Amino acid sequence: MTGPARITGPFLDVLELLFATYAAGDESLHGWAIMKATKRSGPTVYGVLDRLEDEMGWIEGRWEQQRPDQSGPRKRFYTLTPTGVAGAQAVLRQRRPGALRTPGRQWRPAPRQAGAQ
Amino acid sequence: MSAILLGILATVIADQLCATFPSLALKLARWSAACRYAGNPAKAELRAEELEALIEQRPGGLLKLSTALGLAIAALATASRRALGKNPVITIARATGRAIVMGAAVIAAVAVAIWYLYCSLCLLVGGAVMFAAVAGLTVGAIAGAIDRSLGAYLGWSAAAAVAIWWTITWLPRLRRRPPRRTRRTQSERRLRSPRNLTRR
Repeated sequence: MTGPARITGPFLDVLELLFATYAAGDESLHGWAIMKATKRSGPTVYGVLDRLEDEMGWIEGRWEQQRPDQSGPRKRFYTLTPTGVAGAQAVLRQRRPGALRTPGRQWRPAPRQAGAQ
Repeated sequence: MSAILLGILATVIADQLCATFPSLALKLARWSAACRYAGNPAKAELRAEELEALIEQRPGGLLKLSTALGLAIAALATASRRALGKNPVITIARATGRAIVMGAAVIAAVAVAIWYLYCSLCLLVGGAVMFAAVAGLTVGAIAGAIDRSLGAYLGWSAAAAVAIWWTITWLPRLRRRPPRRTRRTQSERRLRSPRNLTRR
């Protein structure tokens, strides 16, 4: 398992959200939903997703299944891989223990000033 | 009457302009994905579709365009960092040229967005501004069709709109020179003196 080389606020926000949705059994987390939930910009969120997917292998993406009558660009849903679950638990235990105590709760972005807990 | 007609026309044109924003935003999103993942076409294609879906979910044309601009600027920054980080000495000239072209395209897109806002605010002023915007977009569309690039479309749109607007706004002012001072006769001077004017 490759650990994160650099842990930033947006990285923790996205990871916490991914872990929360994984714990809740929800598998419909896509880019726009992450942006809305974390209140982070698109480039920031996609930068983190790139790191998690390509560099670390903690998440995997799957395309939205469209009905035949649907058209247009498809969404891509992200879920934690088993490696990602273990990694996210380790990182969150260290940096945001509150996220592990109440998995599956309604996720809210952490306050950005003092600490991330 | 003409002001009302101009107002209606301007509103229709503004509506049409707004209608072009979503497609412009989609193109910009696709371009930013290609720019960000330049060395990985498969990833670029994947991300392009995803970003297009993201743009589709944003409400309103202006919001779509602003999101796409944000993505494009970030992609530009990433591409520049990557190009400069690999081999600064060799790639710096190439990267500079590319950055100038890309930067110009992004700046032009921002200019068009600001232009649209400005035009919307100036609806009451008259049709001249809107005419400049529409003429600029037409020139840009032709340039984009010839060059087949977003940069040409945006750059020429902004340049033509600004040029036309400047011509319309400033040409009449330049022509409106102060009248020459002619020598007045004694009787004229007497007639125009403040004492006589007040007496009337």
